[in-house]
Amino acid sequence: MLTLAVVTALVNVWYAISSHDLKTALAYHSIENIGIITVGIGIALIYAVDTASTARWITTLALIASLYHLLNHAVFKGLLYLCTGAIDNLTNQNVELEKLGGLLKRYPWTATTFLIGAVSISGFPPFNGFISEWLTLQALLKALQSNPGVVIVLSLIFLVAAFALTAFCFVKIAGMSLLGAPRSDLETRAKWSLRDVQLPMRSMMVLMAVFCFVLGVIPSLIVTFLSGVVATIWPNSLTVNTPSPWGLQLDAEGGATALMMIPLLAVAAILAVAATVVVRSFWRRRQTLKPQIPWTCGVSYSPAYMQHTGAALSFLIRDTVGSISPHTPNDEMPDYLPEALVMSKSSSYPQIVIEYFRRQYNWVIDWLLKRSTAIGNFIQNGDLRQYLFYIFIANLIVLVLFLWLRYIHG
Amino acid sequence: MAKTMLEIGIGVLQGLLLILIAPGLAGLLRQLKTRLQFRQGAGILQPYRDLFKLIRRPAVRSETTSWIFAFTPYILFVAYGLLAFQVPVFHCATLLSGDLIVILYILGLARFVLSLAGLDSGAPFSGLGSSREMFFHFLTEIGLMLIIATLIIRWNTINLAAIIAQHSGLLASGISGGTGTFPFNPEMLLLFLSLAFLILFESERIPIDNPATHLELTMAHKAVLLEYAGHDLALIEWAEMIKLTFLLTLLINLFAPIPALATLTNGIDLWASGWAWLGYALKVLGIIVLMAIWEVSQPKLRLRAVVRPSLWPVVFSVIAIIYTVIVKK
Repeated sequence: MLTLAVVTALVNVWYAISSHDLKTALAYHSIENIGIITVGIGIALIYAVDTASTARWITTLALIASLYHLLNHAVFKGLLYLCTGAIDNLTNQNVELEKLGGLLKRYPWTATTFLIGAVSISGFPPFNGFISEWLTLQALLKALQSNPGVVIVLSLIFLVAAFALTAFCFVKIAGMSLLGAPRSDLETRAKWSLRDVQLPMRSMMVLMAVFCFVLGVIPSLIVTFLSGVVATIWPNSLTVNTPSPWGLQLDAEGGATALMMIPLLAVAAILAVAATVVVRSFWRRRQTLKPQIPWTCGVSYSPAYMQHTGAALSFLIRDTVGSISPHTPNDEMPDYLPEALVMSKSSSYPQIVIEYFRRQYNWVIDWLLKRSTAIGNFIQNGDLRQYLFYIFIANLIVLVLFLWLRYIHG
Repeated sequence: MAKTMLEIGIGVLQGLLLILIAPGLAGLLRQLKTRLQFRQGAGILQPYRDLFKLIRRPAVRSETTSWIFAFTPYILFVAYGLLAFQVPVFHCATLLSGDLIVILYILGLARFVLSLAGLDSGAPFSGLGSSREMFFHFLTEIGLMLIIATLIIRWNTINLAAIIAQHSGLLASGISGGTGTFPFNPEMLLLFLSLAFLILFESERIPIDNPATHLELTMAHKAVLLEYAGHDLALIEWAEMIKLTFLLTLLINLFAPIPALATLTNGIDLWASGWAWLGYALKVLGIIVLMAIWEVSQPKLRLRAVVRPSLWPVVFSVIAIIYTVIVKK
């Protein structure tokens, strides 16, 4: 279960990195997050049979982590899909990454909430994804501490790789669609909406973003609540946390672990104020300079062509792990597939992701089609003698059948 | 986890100390490197002068940028400042409890935001840098996590201060021959090598990226900063120096806490604090000299060639895990 979970997480984040469509990438991320949720269940299944208190502690923690991530995923993925819907609406059904860009300036509400969702799903503090990833990692590390094994170490590696790639993927998604200058031409942009979405849609996105933040800074309350839930589904569970207003405090066997969000945020706020004060006090002439075009080594700047593209952004990773790339080369693509699935010959970076199983499925269909055609050609090859032979065989079969029926009914 | 005023005071002192000496350490490293190349150098205090010069200037921003580009210097400064308050320097009391996963994620957050800012500037080179930045993030994350995994098997906790306190106690008793512990742990040496390598990755120093380069195409980290100027650049540079100082402090205090870091077990111990402070200064000096020699003697690797050395920390950590497990059983 654990292995399946981490493989799911890693493989799908891999597909997400290679896909170039906002909705597709988010869909792959959904599957990846289900993988992360299942990691908790997997750990719990390993340790649930053991009745030692350490094992019970790990099981409880793993289940809580799983449920927490379930909740978080509902919140941040809901937010991300709301924003994607809004972008889809605003830009006239265009969610291809390479055709967006510059949305943060144009539609600040949608884009800012999307960014909050992106930080949450990448699991960075102070948003909610961080808490559940922290809990999952804690459960895995505690499992490692109590009983180090190859499976746990490998799961840890896979899971962390999946987390890092999620961050990579969201740099790509958010960077391509929201930041920089618009990547499409003026004609396409003429169809884009001039204003951000209206108040009802905006308020829902802001509400979800606030949830992302709240779930990230008061984890103690949620974990206490989830402990109750875990106690109802698994009676052997322990109370793992001490309710604390400052953050999350887990009482483990052999060393308590704490995640103090409020002090962290307080110090962060103080540092931010300090940095602002330092900058403001040294800054002599308070003029704001006119924005300039970016440095392009002296060539005239054209944003649509000179900005980094998503394919180039993920190229480093895809090239490093190239042998398991989900892209099928053009010549291996069966020719009966819809044209949309086949990439253009000129592009060396295809836009369509073909999953492993889909590729295998394509291959099987291809094979069956070829074999059946070959058999058909063999049977019906236009030779009169062969057709007479078929008639003879058919007569023979009828004759044998008749004799056999007579023999039975006597 | 209510901390006493004394603890908070010491924690604030240590954090501020790290933040303030960071440019000095960077200057020292730079000066040592120039001296090793038989050049005169601008002096140890040059980074302070640079920061002072930059911070007084207004920032020019690219016309494609939005608020994220403007906020990134502050986010970076806050993130790395938070790290400075989590690591024990000469005293085990820290302001924030240094959970290693939190440290890992704060480093990740900073890189994430910086990469976004690189893409926000709309410049061709910044996007290139963002891509490389996140690529290095991916390469380091696994190694760092494996180090954390080894540490939790070995010390049963991932709290930085707790590990350092345990380790320094063990080393002290080993040196005085108290419990007969040999003052040397093979798994900690392996982890030391592993973390030292990852620090080069994380702070993007010489075999990975050349911090002194002026050629845009070969830049990784610098390329992201290409569009920053004035006080924005000053904050980012300061933040980078804090990060380097934090990583070096983490390295030396985690793996060589000799003389033992002061604790609060019997009040405030000025003698132990002084010793620990002296030890810290000497160790930092030593590690900076080593780093300068390393950087002068090594070439920068091609971007594709970086993948293989990124596996060394993983290998070291895995060996350390196996060793720790065998010793534990």
